[in-house]
Amino acid sequence: MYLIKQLRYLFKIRKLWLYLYLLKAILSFLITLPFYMTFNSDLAQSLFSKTIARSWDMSVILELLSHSENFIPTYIMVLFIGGIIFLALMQFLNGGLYYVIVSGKSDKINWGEFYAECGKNFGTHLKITLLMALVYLILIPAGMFLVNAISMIGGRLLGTAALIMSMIQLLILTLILLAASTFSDIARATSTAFPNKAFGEMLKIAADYFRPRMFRLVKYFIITWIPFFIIWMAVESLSLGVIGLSLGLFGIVGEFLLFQISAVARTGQKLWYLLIIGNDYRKINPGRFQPEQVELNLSEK
Amino acid sequence: MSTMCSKILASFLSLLLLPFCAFSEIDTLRISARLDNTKKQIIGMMEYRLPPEPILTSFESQMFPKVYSSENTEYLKFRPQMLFDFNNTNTWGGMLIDSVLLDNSNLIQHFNYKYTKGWLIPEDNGPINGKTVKVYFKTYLPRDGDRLSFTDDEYVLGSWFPMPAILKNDGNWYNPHYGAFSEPIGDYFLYEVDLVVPNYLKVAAAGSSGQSDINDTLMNLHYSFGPVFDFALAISPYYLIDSTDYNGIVVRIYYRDYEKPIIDRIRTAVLNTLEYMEKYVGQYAYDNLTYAMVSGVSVGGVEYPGFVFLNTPQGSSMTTRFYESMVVHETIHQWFYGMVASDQVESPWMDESITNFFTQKIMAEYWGSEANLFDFAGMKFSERDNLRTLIKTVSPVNAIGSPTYSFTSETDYFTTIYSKGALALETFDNLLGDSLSPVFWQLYFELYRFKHPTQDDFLNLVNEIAGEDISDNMEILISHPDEIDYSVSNIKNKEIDSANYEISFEIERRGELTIPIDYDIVLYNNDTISGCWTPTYDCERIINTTSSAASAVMVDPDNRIAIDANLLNNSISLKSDNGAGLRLSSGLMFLIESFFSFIGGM
Repeated sequence: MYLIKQLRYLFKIRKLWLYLYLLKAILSFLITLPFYMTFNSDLAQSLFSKTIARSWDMSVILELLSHSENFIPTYIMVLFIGGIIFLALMQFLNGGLYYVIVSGKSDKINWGEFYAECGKNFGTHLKITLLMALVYLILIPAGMFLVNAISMIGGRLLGTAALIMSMIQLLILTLILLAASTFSDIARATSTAFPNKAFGEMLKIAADYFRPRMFRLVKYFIITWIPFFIIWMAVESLSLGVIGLSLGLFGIVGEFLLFQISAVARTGQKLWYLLIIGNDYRKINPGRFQPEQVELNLSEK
Repeated sequence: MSTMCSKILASFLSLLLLPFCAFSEIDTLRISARLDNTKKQIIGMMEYRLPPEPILTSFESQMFPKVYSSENTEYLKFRPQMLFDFNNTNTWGGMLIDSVLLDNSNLIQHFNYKYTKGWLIPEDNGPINGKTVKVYFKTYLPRDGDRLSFTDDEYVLGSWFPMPAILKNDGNWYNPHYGAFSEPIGDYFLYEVDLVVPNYLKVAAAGSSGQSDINDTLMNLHYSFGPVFDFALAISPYYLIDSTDYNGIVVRIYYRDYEKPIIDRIRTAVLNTLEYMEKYVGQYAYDNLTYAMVSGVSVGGVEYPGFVFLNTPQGSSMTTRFYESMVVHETIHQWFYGMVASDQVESPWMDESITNFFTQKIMAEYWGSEANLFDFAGMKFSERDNLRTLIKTVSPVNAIGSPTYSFTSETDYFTTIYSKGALALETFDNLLGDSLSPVFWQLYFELYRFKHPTQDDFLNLVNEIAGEDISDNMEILISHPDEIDYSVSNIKNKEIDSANYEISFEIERRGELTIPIDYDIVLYNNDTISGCWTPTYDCERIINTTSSAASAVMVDPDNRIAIDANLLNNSISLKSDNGAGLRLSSGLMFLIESFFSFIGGM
């Protein structure tokens, strides 16, 4: 019920939702443009590429990429720079976003206040991102080592099937990374609630909050992820259906719209999850969002 | 032409051609050995009675385990993972020859060796025909090698004993040089192998064994198998056996309990391959075909005559058919490597390219041509796509017919031999056509079964069966490293009068192939006009008069030239259609959005 209630709040901040989705979509569109402009004429003229209109025919995709040895490294660089720009923009916007989420002022967003918070907390969110990048750099190989050891022991001792062990490996690694990602959300919420604390102190408050609630936070993420996952799978299946109808350009536009529904849903999932943990966080660590203390005037008459 | 007709024709042609092929009697090779599982060594003796002819004044032996003996061996040059493992664990392999007896006289002082080559030249220099050579050896096993390896109490034993070098008709020995990418080859023998191992171990080998206990802890296994040129074993205390009978051939898969879920897939891949190869190439020669699942070896699968090592499947191989493809590949090697033992060192294409060509055919035959490796979320990927992906990375230096030691990088070797080579063979097979293809392969197999054909033997047979044109083009395919590409451009329609149009376009050829090439002209009224271009120059303008204007032209419409480096430029359409570009861009944009969601959380 609590999660459903937060879902209702999600629709109250639909402008923020749309705003964040558009940011992602526009940047992705700009990065896609050079690809389209480089390859469209080759693809448009060749009969060999026609199968792409019906399926993701890897023979066409690979043929295209294998003759573009100069394009691929350049495009990877474009993608990398695009990723950096997106990350930087998100660190800026995180200030306002977490302010809305943790303060509970999601009924009506004051955009002036929103951007003021963006500017004020940009440095802290950037620091959290850099710290988390370091954590992931250590965690991924360490996690891989752990899951490989577990799967090897599991495989040998329990005689478990290789496929099951591969899935268990993936699941364990996902859970490890999910826990780290959840901690980063809590750190951001803490930096919003306690903007004047030193970075180390802020991390300590975040860790104190995170430790006893880690499983619950991961559980929230998984629960909010399930509807998105269903939408995503439905979109994948419907898009194949739409393309299978051989509607030409209409089919391609239909598929594009379905993809965008999935992209919108992903942004919504994260916002929903943040609303849940933001509300939870405020109750325990209100920080600067402590309700004003009212002094009762009980003077004797 | 039906397969039956092609078999009859192949048999008839083989009768005509057999007199040109030399026959030799197949000798017996005896090996007695003991596995020392504490020292990780094999101690034993190889016994070989030298043939009565040709006249021999020396004996040569191959000591393959020495390829693992130090970090300076050529074999380990492009195997950084193995070098790292050997250095880390300090468990190098090797081979020591204790004694070499010639009719019971120990001539070890006359036995010399360098790297993997050992040679015995008795002092008197007289003929040694008919004498019995006994070589006493000790093989040191490396940890985590490729053909020779141990992990805890499990052993991968390929080329583990001193093998006689290959005896040529002139009495000289051919002792291959095992550089990078080389695989062991030897002469065909009937093997009589006695092996003593601790009795708690289970041994997988080509052929079935007779077993007797020596005492409470040791057992003796006896194998008779042949004719083969090597005898491999895999040993583990945990082996279970899956056994299937296929037309009198016992297919055994040795596996550990945790590998049980993959066994059905392996068995299906093996049986499909046996069915296809027996139908299109020739009968499998032995009663047994053995597969052993192994761990720790640094390659996916390793073929030996009658025996295949399969590395335990991991990760993506469980959800795609790359594993089946590997099993099919290693099984085809039973024909091209096992029964037809071309020289892998000098002409690697004669086993690897041919094997990969048949792998592609079998994958397409049994798992469909579009998506035989995977089909996920509308993405289809086939064995052929896999081969084509890599041909652009092939270095223009090495031709497909280059020897293994001429390659300077792993990528160069694998892309040239495995990918480009397989596509060259597919091109050759397309040139033969449906009627001659089975005749050629059946005859090649029949003529060179249990022999060592060379590149020239192959080309001579092509000449006999398919004629000089195809033979010349096959030679170009294997000897010229240049890229082969056909393209069409500059299509023009000119209205001559109300009933006639002049259609013109340019066809360009890159590479040296001289064969005529088909093209299709698609008209606006949906008719198709087919034509054929016999190249005189590298680029020519083709002019046709038709009743309707052309909307598209396609060169090599059936993709007979499978090795064509670029298929996108094989056609040109005047009806420009942005659908493919838009759909790919839409998919890419969604991928980038998903990537941003992953890194930025939104």
